[in-house]
Amino acid sequence: MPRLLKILASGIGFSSVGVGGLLFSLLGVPVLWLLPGGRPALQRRTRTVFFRYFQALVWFLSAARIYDLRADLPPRSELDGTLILATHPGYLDVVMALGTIPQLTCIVKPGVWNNPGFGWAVRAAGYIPTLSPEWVLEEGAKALQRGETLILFPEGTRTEPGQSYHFQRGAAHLALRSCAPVLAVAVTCDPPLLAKGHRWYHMPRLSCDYQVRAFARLGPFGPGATPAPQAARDLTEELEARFDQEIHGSGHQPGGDQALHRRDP
Amino acid sequence: MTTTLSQDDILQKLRQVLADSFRLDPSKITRESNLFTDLDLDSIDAVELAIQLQDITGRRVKAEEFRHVRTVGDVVEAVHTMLQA
Repeated sequence: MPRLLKILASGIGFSSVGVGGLLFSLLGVPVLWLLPGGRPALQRRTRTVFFRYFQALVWFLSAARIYDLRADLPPRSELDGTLILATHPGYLDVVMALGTIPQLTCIVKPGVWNNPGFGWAVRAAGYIPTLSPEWVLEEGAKALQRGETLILFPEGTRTEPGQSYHFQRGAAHLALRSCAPVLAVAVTCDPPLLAKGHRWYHMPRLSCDYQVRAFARLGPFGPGATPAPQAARDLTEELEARFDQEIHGSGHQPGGDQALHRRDP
Repeated sequence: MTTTLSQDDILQKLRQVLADSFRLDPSKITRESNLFTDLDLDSIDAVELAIQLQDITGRRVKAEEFRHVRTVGDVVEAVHTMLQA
């Protein structure tokens, strides 16, 4: 597919999020809000709409040959109450997650939560705004304990490919506080697509190899005897090592065989 | 009862708290150390630190009393002010 068409498809995709979000906020949310069932039903229905929309968007961008997506995740029925920790190489990671896993709980920036266009849709979906770290931990743990599936990008922002991982400690804190089982997901994209600093029209010539691959089930960790700040430091280091090992290969371990070494999932 | 604590006493106690809670090397903790850039505390740690400081101040530390705190020296002064009040 010529690059120009990819840029066109990307533009359509991006504007559909803005326009669709606005229309859904104005017309869809009020209708869903009127349906019976209260807040939980509104959340469930809004998330169903999001899932269908992002599923279609994932398909559309794939059909435009912007990427080849290979998703390897456990069935949804096995993810209730699971904290998904994923790497974050590009903007589309969120789209992939929302279009692949139904009824997903996300953590959103205040800018998204307060967005005049689609903010209402985001609120109806019951996502968790990063109003304060304590708030996110509290609400995140509650959501997981209710059995929701929550995705968190422990790096906190999109990151450069190839560098060893540096995680914020929030993911470890949430894992410890919620006692939720953790699913480690390697999201990789080669060549990088909509990475940090890229604009929507920065499209690589080749189709990207986009992988969303669960590689380990960890925990539950639960609060132990170690004080929380130390436990979070230890777990963060452990998680960084697991992700580095999995994604950057065994280069950090002397004697490891790059071609053959694969840690069991 | 606690008003007799000098700034140096507070610094000593604070170094102990920081070293114990966040596994820091006490020799690296000076008045000039920035909690976030030099000592690698994050906002969740700051909440934890405020809780730990209750042992020194003997009362709840409010978030607004802590808002402008950046360095270890700032914490010492904030605690000192609280003890004077």
